[in-house]
Amino acid sequence: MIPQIALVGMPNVGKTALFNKLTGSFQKVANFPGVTVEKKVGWIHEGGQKVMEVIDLPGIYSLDATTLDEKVTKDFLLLKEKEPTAQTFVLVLDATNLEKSLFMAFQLKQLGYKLIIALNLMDEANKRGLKIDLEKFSQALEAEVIPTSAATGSGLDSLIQAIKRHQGQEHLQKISLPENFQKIFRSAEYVNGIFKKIDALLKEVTLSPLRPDTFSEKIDFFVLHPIGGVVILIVLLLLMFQTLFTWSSPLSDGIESLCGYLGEIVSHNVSHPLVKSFFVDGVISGVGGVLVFLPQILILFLFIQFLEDVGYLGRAAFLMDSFMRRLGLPGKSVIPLLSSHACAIPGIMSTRVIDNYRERLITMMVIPLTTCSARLPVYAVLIGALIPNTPVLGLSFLKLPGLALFGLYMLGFVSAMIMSLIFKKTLPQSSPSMLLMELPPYRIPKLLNLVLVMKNKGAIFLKKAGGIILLISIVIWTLITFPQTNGESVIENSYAASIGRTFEPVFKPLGFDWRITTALIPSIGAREVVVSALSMVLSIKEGSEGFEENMSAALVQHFGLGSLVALLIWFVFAPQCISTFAVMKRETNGYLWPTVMVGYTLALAYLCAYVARVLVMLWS
Amino acid sequence: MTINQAPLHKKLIITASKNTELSDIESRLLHLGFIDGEMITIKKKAPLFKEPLLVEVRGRLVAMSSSEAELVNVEVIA
Repeated sequence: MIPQIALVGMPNVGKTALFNKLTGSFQKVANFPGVTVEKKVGWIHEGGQKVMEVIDLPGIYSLDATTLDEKVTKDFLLLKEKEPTAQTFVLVLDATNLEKSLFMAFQLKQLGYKLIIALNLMDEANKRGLKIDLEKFSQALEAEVIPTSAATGSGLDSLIQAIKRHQGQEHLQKISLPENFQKIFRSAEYVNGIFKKIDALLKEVTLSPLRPDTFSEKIDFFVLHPIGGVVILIVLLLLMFQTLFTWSSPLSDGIESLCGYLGEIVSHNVSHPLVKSFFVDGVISGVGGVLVFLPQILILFLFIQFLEDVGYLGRAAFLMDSFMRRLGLPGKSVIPLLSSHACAIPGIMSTRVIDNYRERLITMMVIPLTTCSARLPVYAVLIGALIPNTPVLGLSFLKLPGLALFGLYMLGFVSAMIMSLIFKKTLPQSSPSMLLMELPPYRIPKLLNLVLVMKNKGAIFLKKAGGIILLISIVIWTLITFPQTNGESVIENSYAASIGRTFEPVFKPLGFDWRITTALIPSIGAREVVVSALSMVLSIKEGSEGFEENMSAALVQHFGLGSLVALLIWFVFAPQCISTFAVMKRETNGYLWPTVMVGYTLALAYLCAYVARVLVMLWS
Repeated sequence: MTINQAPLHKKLIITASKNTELSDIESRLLHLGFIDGEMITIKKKAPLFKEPLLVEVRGRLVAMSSSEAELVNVEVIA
């Protein structure tokens, strides 16, 4: 076993930046057992060998934990009471915020921890005029204090040397907790006492004080301006959303054409039609269906981490909080909700910016109702079939189909808001909903952090969701391929069609016949596939000239107005694609919530589609 | 008065805070530096609903909703 180091510290002290700098690309991200709190583990290498394991514990203000993240760190730290270990604890302090970050130093020292203190952001503090007597500081805290800068990497070598000296001493971390420690930690008297000690220490060691951060104040004048700030936020979010679309679509298209190319190679080299179809339509398109999400995930997390590192995320939450809270959601949910208009997958993954688990869960549950881009091809064909291309109120730029599309977006958005209010009323309150947070000063983001976040998020998606998505893609391929008729796959005779026929009576009130219910089965893989599935059952060749027009005409001819409106409304709410299900399973750590999500969206889809069809029948 | 009733940009001093049976939020308030005798200033109120508030405490800005601000008693000193 190689020695283990745990990084402890308050949020926003640059702990993760330090972790990234120490471990570089040698890290992996998983969940702590049983909870959806991120556990980051990395390794320090020397001469090609792993020499130390580093754990980046979630930020914590005190051993009196209030949030899930803090409880994880608290449990990790307090376990040492029962089993003393040879771990080294590195407490990371923010040199520009010693007045608060020293709290944990005193608390852990009192309990008997032997700490190494990384006095991080020391370069920034020096620039703002802070000078402290490090020797006195170190003596008072009874710990080795190493000034570091995760930004420039200065002090990291000294930190590693200090850790080695500490390990060389071979002592075990052994702590003694007072009786009723929970009660003591949570008392104003105790907290006041530690803050008094902090003030006394700082008075003694400060040679020249820290100047106020006028730079952040100047930027905040604009960014947090009552009107200007909101305008900046909206412009920023729209730009982000637009860029997410424009940057990711060529990449996703590239992945799709690459899969197409691979498919062609296989087609040319495999003669057996069934084996060929298995690889081309099952495996390659399944892998493609997984990879196609990567660009959006990577780009969204690049943006989010950039906003977080620059210090803007908390400010965005501050600006949006009172508005979003009236809809049952916290301020920080604007980012997941907006980005899920591109795709629900990165949207659901990004709900981790929300600290409170219940609010994170509510946001995840309503995200599938927002109109993701995979619905657009379905909407395009159905709107084309249903709605004449005539101007509204004589305005040439505003036409009925556009208005209908807007209506569908709004229907998704409004139902998401209604559902979030319903979930807010019904889900049990586990920990209090808190806005309370420190806004960090503005800082320049570090490329390393951004790259590592993208790498880790991409890896999590591929490992934890990719498998399920691929598996179900192959199951769906099996359903539409077998049993074969005269050695050929005909969708009308497939298992999918038998399932479709079985469910036909259930969907009769919506006006869906077996052809529609059959086409809905592959759409569980990805919504947009319903268009090609419908074209198959209607025997219209996809990719042929005037495909959309032909499809639209055939749809009206075969199914009638009422059923098509019902189908359109159906797609506002359901089906949720398997990727959404898989990601949600990973993010909620179980099958319960993804099942509830699928259940309620199906119910909502059925109900609304039925109402829509009845309304159409009454009207015409 | 409590923080949410206090005026903007004035120096406020925290008085008479609760000592026993603290809730999670009250505990977090303490750890963010909202302790007896501490000087704070309300820097901003968010648009639209006049909350959340942005309060300077111990050299840092803290964002808090009005229900959180209600939990801290203050007096105006300047």
